[in-house]
Amino acid sequence: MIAQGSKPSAASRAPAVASGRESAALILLVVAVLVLATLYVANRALDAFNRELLPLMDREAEAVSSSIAATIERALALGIPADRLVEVDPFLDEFRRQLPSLGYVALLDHDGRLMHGVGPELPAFEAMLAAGRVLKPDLGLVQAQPDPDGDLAGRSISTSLDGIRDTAWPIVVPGQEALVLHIGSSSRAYDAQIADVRWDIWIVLLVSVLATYEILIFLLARSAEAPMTLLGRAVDRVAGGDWTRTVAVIGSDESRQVLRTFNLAVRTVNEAFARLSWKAEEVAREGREAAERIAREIGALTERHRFAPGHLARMTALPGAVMARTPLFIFVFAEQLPTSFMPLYAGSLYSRFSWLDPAVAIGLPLSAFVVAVAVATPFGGWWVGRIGSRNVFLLGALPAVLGHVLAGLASDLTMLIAARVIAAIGYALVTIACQHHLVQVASLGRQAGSLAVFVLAVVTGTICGMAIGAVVADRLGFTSTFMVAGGLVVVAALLAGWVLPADHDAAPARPAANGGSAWLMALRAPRFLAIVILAAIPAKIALNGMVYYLAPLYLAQAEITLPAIGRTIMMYSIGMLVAIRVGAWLADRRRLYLMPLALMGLLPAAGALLLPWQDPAAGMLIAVTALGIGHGLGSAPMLAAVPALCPGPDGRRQAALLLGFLRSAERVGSMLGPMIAATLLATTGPTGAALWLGLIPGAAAILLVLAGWLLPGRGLVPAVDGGGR
Amino acid sequence: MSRVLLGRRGLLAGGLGIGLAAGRPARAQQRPWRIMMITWRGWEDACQGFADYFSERNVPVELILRDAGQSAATVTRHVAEAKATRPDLVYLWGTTTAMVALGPYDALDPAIHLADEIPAVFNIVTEPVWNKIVPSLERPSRRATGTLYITAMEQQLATLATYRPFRSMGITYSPIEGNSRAVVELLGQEAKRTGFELIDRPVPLDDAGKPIAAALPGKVAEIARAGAEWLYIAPDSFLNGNKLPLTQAALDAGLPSFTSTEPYILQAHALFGLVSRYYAVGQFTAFKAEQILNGAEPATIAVEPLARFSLIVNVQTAKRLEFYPPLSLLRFAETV
Repeated sequence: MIAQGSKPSAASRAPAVASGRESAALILLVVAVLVLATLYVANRALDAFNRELLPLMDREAEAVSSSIAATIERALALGIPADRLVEVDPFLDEFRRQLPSLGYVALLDHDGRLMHGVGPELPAFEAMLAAGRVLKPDLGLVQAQPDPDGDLAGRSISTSLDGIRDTAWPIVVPGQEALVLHIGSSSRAYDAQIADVRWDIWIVLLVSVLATYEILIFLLARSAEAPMTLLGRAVDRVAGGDWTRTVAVIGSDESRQVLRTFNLAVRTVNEAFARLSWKAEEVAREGREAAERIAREIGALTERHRFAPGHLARMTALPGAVMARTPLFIFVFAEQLPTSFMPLYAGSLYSRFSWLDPAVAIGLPLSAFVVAVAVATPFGGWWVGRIGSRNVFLLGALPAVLGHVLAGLASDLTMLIAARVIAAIGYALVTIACQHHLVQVASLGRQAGSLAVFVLAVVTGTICGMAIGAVVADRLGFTSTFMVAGGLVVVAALLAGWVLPADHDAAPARPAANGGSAWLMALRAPRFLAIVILAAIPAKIALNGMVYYLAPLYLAQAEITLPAIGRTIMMYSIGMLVAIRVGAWLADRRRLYLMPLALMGLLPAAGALLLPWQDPAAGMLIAVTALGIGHGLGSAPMLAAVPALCPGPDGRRQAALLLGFLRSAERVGSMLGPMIAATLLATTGPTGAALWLGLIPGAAAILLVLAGWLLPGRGLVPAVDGGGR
Repeated sequence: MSRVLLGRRGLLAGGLGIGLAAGRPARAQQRPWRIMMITWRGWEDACQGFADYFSERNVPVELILRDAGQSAATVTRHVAEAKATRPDLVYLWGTTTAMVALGPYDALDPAIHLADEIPAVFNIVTEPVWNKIVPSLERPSRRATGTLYITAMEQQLATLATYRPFRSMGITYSPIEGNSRAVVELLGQEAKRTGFELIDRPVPLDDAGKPIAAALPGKVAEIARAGAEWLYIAPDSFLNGNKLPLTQAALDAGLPSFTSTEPYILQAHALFGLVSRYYAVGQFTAFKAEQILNGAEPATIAVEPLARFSLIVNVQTAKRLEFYPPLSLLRFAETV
C-alpha cells in the first residue's frame, strides 16, 4: 500500500520530468538523423548537377550559335558582304538577352579580328583574344566539308577560359571568306542557379526540421506524455486513498499496457475490498464482539481509502495545450503559403480598376484580409462560448478552404479580394478557437505557458509557410499553391476534429468588451496612448506595408526569384523568433520598456536607410531582418508595459481592457500598412516607399523617447513604487 | 421494333451527313453555283486563288469572267448584265471595280448599282470604308462583304522603320484614283502623329484628265532631290501599270522603295514590302463567298485582312542600292 503521507505532486512530476528529458533526446536524435540524411542527399544532388553543367552549357551555346550563324550565313549567301552587315550588335544582343548565361557574343573575321561583339564579358574576351588564348576552329577543314549543315556537333569547339566557357562556331559560305562566331557562357549565371538550388535545399531542410519537431511533439504528447500524465494523476489519487477510478486506456502500446496494468491493480484492490466486505459480513454473524471489531477495522480502512467495487468511475486525459498546437501549426502553415507572392498574384489579376491606382488596388487583398479578421474575431469568440473550440475550428476550416480554392481560381482582382475575405473569416474562427482552447487548458492550471505554445505554433507555421510557399509557387505556380494550402487546411481540420475535446466547456468569462470605457481609459493614460500611437501602430504599418506588400513587389521588380522572395520575408519571423526572448528578458528582468520599444522603431529605420546603398536582394534582406529583430525586441515589453501601467486593485481589469484596445489599434495599423505602402509606391517609387516605411516607425520611436522623457515621472513606465500615473 | 430501326437508320444517315460536311463540300450541289467575276485588269493571282479554293474543295462553280479593261463604264455594263442574268454571286476585283459596281452605301442608284439585288464579294480593295463601299468593316450592312489586303498604315510604317528608321518619305500617285487619295491622307495623318516629313508629288494629268506616265521618273527624281529617305508606293492602278519605270526611277535616284502590295516587289524593283500574298487573299475571299453561297447574310460577315502578312526584301535592289536589311529582319523576311 502506498504510504498515506507521500507527496503526490513529487510522485507524479518525477516521471514527467524524465519523459521530458527523454522526449528532448528523442527529438534531437530524429532531427539530427533528418538533417544528416537531407544534407547527404542534397550534396549528392548538387554534385550531379555540377557534373551535368558543362555539357549542358555546351549544348545551349551550340543551339544559340547555330541560330545566329544561320541568319548570318543567309545574309552572306544572299551576297551581302561581311563588312556591310547591318545592325549586327543589336542582333547579337537579342540572343544574348534571351539567354542570361551568355557573357558575350562576338563575330570574328577570317583572320581572327573582332568585327562585332556584345555582352558584359566582352572586354575579358578581347583581352584573351589579344593574348592568343582563344582557340580557332580549323576553317580549312570546315570549308572542305561539302555539306556544312551535315554535322552540327562537329563544327564547334569549346574551351574553358577563366570562368567562361567559349564556344567557337565557324560561319562558312561558299565563295566568301569564313567568319567565326564566339559565344561565352559565363558560369556566373549557373553559380546563381546553384546558389538558388542550395537555398531551396536549406529552406526545405529548415521546414522539415520544424515540421518534424511539431509532429514529434504531438506524437509524443499523444502516445507518451498524455498517458503518463494521466497515470500520474491517477496515482496521485490512489496515494490520497481514492481507489474509485480506473483510467482511460490511451496512447501507444507500452503506455496502454501500463495503464491497463494500473486498471487491473485498481480492480484487484476493489475486488479484494469487496471480498473483504463479504467476509466481514460473514464474520459479523458469528457474534457481536467479532462484528464490532471487524466494523472497526473496516472503518479504519475506509477512513483512509475509498473504494467503489462494482461501479468504478473512469478518469480521462485533460486536454493538453499541445493538442491544439499541431492543428494550429498546420493551419498557419497553409495560410502563409501564398504570403510571399500575394501582391504579385494580385498584380497579375489587376485590370479594369481604372479608378484606382494599380499599386493601391493590389494592396486591397491584404487590407481586406486584416479588416475581415478584425470583424470576424469577436463573433468567433462569442461562437466558441456557445459551441466549443473544436466545432468552431471545424466550421472555420470551411471558409478557409473555400477562400484558398477561390483565390487560386480567381480570374480578377475583385474575386481575389472576396476570396481573401472568406479565408480571413476562416482564419479568425480557427485562431480564436485555438486561443480559447489554450486559455481553457491554462485555466485548468495545467500549463502556464500555454499561450506561448500558441505564439510558437504561429511563428513556426509562418516561417515554414512563407518559405516553402515561395518554393512551391516557383515550381507549381500560384494556383497550385493555393490548392496545396486548401488541402493542408483540410488536414489541420481532420487533426483538430480528432484531438480536440469534443465536449464544449463553457469558455472562461472574458472581461466585458466595454469599448467605451476602454476608449476613456486609453484617453486618460497618456503613456499608454503614446505606446499605441508611436509604437504599436507604426510597427504594424511597417510589417504589413514592408514585409507583406512592398518586399515581394520590390524584389520581383529587381528580377529576384520567387524562392528568394520567400526566404527574404521569412527572415522577418526568424529575426522575431531570435529577438523575442531578449525582449521578454529586458522587460521581465531588467524592467526596461522604453529602450526595446525605441529599438522596435529605430532598427527598421536603420535597415531601410541602408537599402539604397546595396543591391536589392541584400538590402531588402537586411531591412526585413532588422524589422523582425526590432519587432521581436519590442513585442514582449509592449505587452508587459500595459499591466505595469495599471497598478492598483482594479489593475487586472484595466490592463485587460487596454490590451484589447491595443489589439484593435494594431489591426488598424495592419490595415493601413498596405494602403500607405501602395500610396508611397505610386508616388515615390519602390526605393522611396521602402525608405518611408522604415522612417515612419523610426520617427515614431524618436517621438516615443521624447514622450518618455517629457511626461511627468521618469521613463515610459514609472517604477511601481515611484508613485503611480 | 421497325420504328426503332428506322430511327437508327435516320441517325446513321445524319452521322454520315455530318461526316460528309466535315470532309467535303457542305452541300451536294447538283447545279454548279454561278459566280460572275468582274475584274479590273484581267486575271491574276487573287483570281486564281479564288478559283482554286472551290476546285480544291470540290465545290462545283461556274465562273463567268468579265474584265473591265480598266474602264468604269465597262464595269457598269457588266453590272447590268449581272442584273439581267442573275448569277448566285458577283466577285469584284479592285477598288474602282467595287466602287463602281456597288456604289456608295449612302447614295445608291438602283439603276446602275448592284444595290443588294445580288450578293457580292470584293477583294484587292483599298480602304473600303473611306471609299464608301461599306459603312463599317465589322458589319458591312449591305449584301456585300470582302477582304482587306493591306495592313494598317501604322503597322506598315512601324515595319518600314525596322529596315531603317526615317525622317522623311516621298509619295507619287495618280490623283484621280480614290484609293491613292485615301492612302495619301492616311500617310499625312501618320506623318503628323509621328513627326516625319511627307513629300507629296502627284503625277500631272493630261488634257483628257489622265495621269501622264512619262512624268513619273521626273516626279521620283524630284522626291529624291527633296531629301526623301524612302519612296512609298501606293496601291494605285496607274502606278501598277507603270511599276517597272516607277521602281527603276527610284533605283536610278538611289531611293529605297516600300510597298504594301506584292506586284511592285515580285514583278518590279521595289526594295521592301509588307504584303498579303494575292493568291492567299483570293482564297480567303472565296471562303467568304462560300459562306454567302451557303446562306449566310453578307451584311453580317466582317471585312477582314489575312492573319499573316509577308515581309519581302528584294535582295537585288538592296545590292544595287547598297542598302542592306538589318540582320534581325533577315531572320523573318522572305527574299526575292
